[in-house]
Amino acid sequence: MNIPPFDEKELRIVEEVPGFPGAPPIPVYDFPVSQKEAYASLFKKRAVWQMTALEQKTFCPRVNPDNVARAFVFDGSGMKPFEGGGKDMFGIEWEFVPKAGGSMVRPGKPFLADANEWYGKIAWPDIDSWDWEGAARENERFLNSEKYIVCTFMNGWYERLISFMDFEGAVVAMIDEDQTDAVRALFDRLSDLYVKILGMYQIYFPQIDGYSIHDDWGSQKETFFSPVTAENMIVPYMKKVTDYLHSIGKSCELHSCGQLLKQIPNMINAGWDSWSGQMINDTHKIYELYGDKIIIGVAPDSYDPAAASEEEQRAFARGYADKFCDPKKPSQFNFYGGAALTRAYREELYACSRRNYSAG
Amino acid sequence: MTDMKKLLTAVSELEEDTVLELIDEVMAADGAQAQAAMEACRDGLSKVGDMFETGEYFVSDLVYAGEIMTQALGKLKPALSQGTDRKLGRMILCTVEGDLHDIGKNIVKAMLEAGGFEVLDLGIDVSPAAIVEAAKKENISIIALSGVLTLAIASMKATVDAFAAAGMRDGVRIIIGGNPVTREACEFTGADAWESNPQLGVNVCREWAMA
Repeated sequence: MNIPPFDEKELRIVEEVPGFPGAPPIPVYDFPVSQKEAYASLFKKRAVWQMTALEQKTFCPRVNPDNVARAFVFDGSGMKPFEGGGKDMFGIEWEFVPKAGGSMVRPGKPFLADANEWYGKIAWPDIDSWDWEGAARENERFLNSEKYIVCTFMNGWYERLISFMDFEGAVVAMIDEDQTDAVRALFDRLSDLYVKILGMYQIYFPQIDGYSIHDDWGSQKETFFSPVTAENMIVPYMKKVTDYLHSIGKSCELHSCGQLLKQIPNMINAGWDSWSGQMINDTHKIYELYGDKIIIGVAPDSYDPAAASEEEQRAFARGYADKFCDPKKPSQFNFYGGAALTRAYREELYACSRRNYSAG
Repeated sequence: MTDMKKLLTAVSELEEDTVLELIDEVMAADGAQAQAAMEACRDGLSKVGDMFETGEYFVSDLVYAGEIMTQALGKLKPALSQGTDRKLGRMILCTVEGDLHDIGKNIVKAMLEAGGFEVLDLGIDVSPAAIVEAAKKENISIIALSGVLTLAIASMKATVDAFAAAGMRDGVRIIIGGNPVTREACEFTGADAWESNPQLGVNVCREWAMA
């Protein structure tokens, strides 16, 4: 797509949409192309303007039991997100913790005490029995959107292993030479299952533009396991899924929480198109080191939106755009940095990013 | 005679089979070296903690070390004299209310037991009232609180406040640990100490016990 040059007329606000609960509404400008087109263009490394959370729509259908178990349903069913719990697609029981706003498997009685047990114990889900037709009907209106539809897929590989083995069992199985072969075989089989599920999504939800696959790898301070472990144990199996998604023309974002600077090369080798990590990561440094190989969700410089004047807010936005809106090395605005997006900041960011990206 | 340097190295390098073979060797010789083996394991675990601090080791290695340690302790127990290894007494350990994670708690538990404590593990999602009640009932004065989620900080503060409300604050020493724990969090909660490195946390508890 040719990136149209920026025209000041684009700053005309055509509508306002709700922001996060408690946050002010978000202005929608008179974009030169649709939000869906602009987002898709980013994944072709042809950014039109700096993507924020505005331009995408999360889809996480309840037809997949994992999403209900994880209390993370965003679809046309009317089921509210952040309510749920129950059995995932393997029959593992998840408990919703209201105070934390999420679900986890209560530790203490892991389904697998040793990874080698999986061969005889895991009952593989019969995904053909899921109500796909009903789900397609239920979501037709939800998926009819000008936004880039990103389907979240929970419980990737390491997260799945945790659900089977509790955290400690899983993290040891990743490095215990008596279990690593079994873990690799399990991850391989899981990837085959995920490809099958994604194939069903392709049939019944063809409106999906891209995927965000969930696999948390770290804590606030560090990655849970070494980069060598991730390279050997997870990367090949992730690549199976990203290769499939790319073959059907879908983008793939890895959602992975934690301090993950050391794991970025693995993310790249696993075939992920983008990663928008938590603010505990030095996203500026990560962009500098790896932004030409993977689209990074870059955090804004820290400032106090309540205390900064409008001109100061605009100056911050200009500084951000000048550093991170490079047509040869596009990025996206880090989802977790939304508090910086005052009206003035957003407008300035939009205008500057349009100028920068269209100059490339 | 079993080579204790070899045992220390095996623990620090997470060579599970070698550790257990050497422990079996100690026990096959009537356990005369059991205490020395325990010390070697502790020193090896301390080295693991150091390597975690420097970034050579990760959480996976810490947990694995804890599991190796637990197995080693289990084998050595019959040969360790009553009272000589539990000379540091009892302490309470738990994950605070609202947090179901037990990963940090379990790593520290293995290290505390290796360090000479008898640990009363109250489990996960433990209310302040339950922790105070256990300390009162069991007459325990060292309390270790663990949490992974940011909300754990508020629960840790509530626990410290609960001890104060019960008139027990001056009689207990409270240490907090886990991913969200920082110096600022320690000040906010009113705890006596904090650590992000499990082995250093054990050292603090040992100092309190021996004071």
